Amino acid sequence: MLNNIYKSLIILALLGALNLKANQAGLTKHFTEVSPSKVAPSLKLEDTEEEIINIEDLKGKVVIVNFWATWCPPCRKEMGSLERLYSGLKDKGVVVLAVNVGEDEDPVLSFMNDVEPPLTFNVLYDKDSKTMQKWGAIGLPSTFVVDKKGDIVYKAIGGRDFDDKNILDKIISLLK
Amino acid sequence: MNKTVLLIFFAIVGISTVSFAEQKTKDGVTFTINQINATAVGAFYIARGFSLEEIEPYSETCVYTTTLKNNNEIDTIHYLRKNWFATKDGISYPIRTNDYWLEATKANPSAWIAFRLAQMPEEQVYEPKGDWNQGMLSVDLPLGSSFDITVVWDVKGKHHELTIEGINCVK
Repeated sequence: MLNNIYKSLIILALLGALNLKANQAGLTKHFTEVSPSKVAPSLKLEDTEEEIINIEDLKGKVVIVNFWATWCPPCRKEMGSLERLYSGLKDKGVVVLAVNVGEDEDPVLSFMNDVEPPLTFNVLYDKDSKTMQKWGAIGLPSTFVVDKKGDIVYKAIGGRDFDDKNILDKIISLLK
Repeated sequence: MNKTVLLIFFAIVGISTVSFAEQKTKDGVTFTINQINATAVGAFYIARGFSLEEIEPYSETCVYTTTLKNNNEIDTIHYLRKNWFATKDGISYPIRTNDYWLEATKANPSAWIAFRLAQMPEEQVYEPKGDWNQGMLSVDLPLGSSFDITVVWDVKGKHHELTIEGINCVK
């Protein structure tokens, strides 16, 4: 109980420090096409269930790789729309790998408990940020869409409204 | 329990304090800048693994939450943060590099990851139609200063810049 209160206070302190200004730029409703597409780098990380997730094992699926952190306001803001995208398309072959960068279990699990809607996709730990660097991501959040063949076909820097029709249509087109 | 009390204090102070906020758009690029008070900056980084002493050299400068967004329909933009600068009384002050702050704060590797990622990226390429970042930016001037800030980017090598004048760094 005290632990949960303590975690909530940490989150409040962090959000207070950042003054919650994520709205100032707003979530973008657009993915940039990567043309020509390029082979996705390796990604093999432990998730919150202590399972090792390897993107190599996900060939044949459309994989959305999202690099994020709990203290990053636009990351927090876009999570709900990412969950709605996943909920709507997971049965059609979409996988979301939300890669937390640089944090340990406590803040991540605390965030997952608090966020609405609850996150049902895989959340992975990139504690030393080496996977993020390997993918060429510089700022948070950064998102990559990997097609069934394992190629990066779309990317996005900054927060996105993932369940906007423009973005959903692009993902759905990759499932055909 | 002392740490809990400290966090309650930081939370209240951080949420209640907005000292300066400004936004400007030029050539399809929007820059926003919002001051974060020193106490709130300290709280953020203490929660990320810094000691108060480690983060003080940074938190006692003028620290802002900034965003830069490319709303152009066609043009990709590129920037180097080292080309951005503040101007006060006709003197130009560069934006400090992350390496400068690493040396000044002596952060441990774990805290450093968060510090680096929380800053406005030092170099970035934004594709059109809405790529953007939000990050902290320190202007190494004393609290209480007033200055102009100029953000510089290029489109296929062509120079663009945007200046916000009269930024107050409230104590």
